[in-house]
Amino acid sequence: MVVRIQLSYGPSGRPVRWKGSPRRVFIYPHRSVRFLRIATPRILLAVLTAGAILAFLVINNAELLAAHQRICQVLLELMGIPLRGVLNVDLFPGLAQAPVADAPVMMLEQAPGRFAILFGAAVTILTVVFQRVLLARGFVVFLGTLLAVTAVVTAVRPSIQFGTVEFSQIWLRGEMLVWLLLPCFSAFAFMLIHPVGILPVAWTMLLEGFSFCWSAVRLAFCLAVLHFTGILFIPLLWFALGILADMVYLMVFYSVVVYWSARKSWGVRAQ
Amino acid sequence: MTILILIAKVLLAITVIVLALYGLRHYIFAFSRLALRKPRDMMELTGFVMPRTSVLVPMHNEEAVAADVLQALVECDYDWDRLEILAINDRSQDRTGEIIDEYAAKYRIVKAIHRSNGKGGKGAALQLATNQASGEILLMFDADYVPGPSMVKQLVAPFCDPQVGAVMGRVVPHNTGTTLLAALLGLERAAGYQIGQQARYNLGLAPQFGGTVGGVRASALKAVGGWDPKSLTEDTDLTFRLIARGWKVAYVNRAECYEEVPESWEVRRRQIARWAIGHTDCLHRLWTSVLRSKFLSLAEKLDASFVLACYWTAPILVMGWLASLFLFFSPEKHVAATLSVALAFAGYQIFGNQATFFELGTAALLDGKARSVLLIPLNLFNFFASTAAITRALARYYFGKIFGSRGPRWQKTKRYRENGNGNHFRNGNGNGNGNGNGGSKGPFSQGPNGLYTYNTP
Repeated sequence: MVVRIQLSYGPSGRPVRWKGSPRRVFIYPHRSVRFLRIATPRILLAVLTAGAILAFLVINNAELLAAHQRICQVLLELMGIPLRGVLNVDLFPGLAQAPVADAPVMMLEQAPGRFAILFGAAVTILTVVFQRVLLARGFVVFLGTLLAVTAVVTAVRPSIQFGTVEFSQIWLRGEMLVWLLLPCFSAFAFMLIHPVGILPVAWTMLLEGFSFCWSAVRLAFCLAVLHFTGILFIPLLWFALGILADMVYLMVFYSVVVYWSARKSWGVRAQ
Repeated sequence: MTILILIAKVLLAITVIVLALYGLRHYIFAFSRLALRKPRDMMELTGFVMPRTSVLVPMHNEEAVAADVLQALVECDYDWDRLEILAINDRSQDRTGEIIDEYAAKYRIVKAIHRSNGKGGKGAALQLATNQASGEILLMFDADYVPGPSMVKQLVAPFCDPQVGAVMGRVVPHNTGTTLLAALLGLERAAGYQIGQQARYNLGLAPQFGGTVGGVRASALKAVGGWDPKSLTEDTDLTFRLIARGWKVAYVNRAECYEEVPESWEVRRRQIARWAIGHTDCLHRLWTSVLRSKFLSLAEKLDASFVLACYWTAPILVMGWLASLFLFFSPEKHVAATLSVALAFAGYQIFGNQATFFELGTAALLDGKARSVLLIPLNLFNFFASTAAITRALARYYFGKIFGSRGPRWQKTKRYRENGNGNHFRNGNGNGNGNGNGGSKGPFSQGPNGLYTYNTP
């Protein structure tokens, strides 16, 4: 008797789903000897995906930066922050100038009392979190250090304070690097571990799009904080909401892809 | 000011280079393990006569778990005529000694060793037991481990290669379902063993002997001068003394044994501080001999250096971060170095202490741990806690070295299991991992959520 088995997936050269027979096609390997075959077409697909996204970014960088600025500006206007205008700043050689919002910011000399109250409130909140959330103690120390250093430096040398244009320039330089690096990383990371052919391409593009939009939202938030509270929280936001936040959403995407992949690769019983 | 900015830039450059090299190393490991070609499985060999083996179990106030480990060992499938179990009561103040004596009276292969004075620490206890052991192979288990029936055979098999001086099995945390920290440490351990150790073995580098769920050839141990009772990490110390003298270390991924990981941040802080100090102490004592070894290839020397210096990454990271903070307030705030260190800072270690997030994900993927992988973003908190603990521990260590204060003392990691009586193993549900690997067994069963549950009697 011939039993016909229809394989629906062939990840790593191993079928994981089948139709036509209740009998399992293979016994999933013990975890100590499992591996995923990194096939050449999969690597080529990763290279092509990363290359296409990078080319799109480089060719359309002026339009993308303008779109980023528009999202940011809309959010600032929704928050009721008055803009003095939009200025163009240099980011990297070879790339177009980036339009950034110019808004007034609170300076220490104008409102030292407000500055002190904000600092005291932030220290109180961090202290409470430090005492009550053991999990976050290391992170709170990190944030507290940033806050304390900023307060001391600003009090000693008020000239280090800067406005929204300069901060946007710093922000966009960092984000530009992230946007350029993300496709290379995500294409390979997703493509090599995900057993289902075209899905990793979708994940890679989704991550890039999310990164772009989320960056504009975070920048708008930082500019609003700069407008209302001055430089006091800016290093904290730059180090915690900047590149670090980029890594957090990258981790979230990555863990979701691995989650899917782990379910597909070995079957439910192997988990 | 110009000089300070220059110094900050140099520090940033050092930080970025060091972290990038470590990151690259971990990515190579992850890709190598992902594309694994099955390494030699010594268990498949025929005609190999299993040598006489001594199993060393040091115990210091282990009444809660002593019976479990001894019961598991006497139930192993190794030939009793070639096996002895040396249970070491290391200055215990609880019922550990009585439990050991009960087992010694009941089973002829169990020998009780009582140690009432001398320097504390696992290394000293192991040295005492080694002097009394008659086996050609010495296996070590911590008291809170639960070896399966085939574990002794699995760990002894690689010694059929006469070049192998030490063997290491895989350690799998069983209490990952208790707290978030335990779950995060479960991910980290998986990356360390499933990826790091296995990749190093596959690539011809030296896996690290971990001091438990492993073994050492008695003649090799004697040749390198025995255990170092002064070392806080006697396992790392022995690994590098062995490889510097030309012995190989084998890794058996299939020899899985279950352990407890810290469930609270305070216990974790103490544990990682001890590891950091012990490891760094080994770096100072053994780095030169590793670099000068004529038995090691350049790749092996390079990897050994990375392993020995791995805890330096935490203070280096802090240094780079402080430098970037300084630059942020300087007129050079636009310098791309600020960005690059932030990228390296975030990109490399941030989501795992000694493993990149890619390593964590790959390990979880290969283990089929679909749910636990969703915790990877939360490893951020583990990263900050570990970095702070390691930096503080190393600062104390170097302060002590410079000003001559007394060195750190060995501290036992807290146990969470209670009321062990040796009966758990008869109630065991299968083989513990649902894969028929003949690894650890007994008190652990796998729930529908993929987590292991400890079955109380």
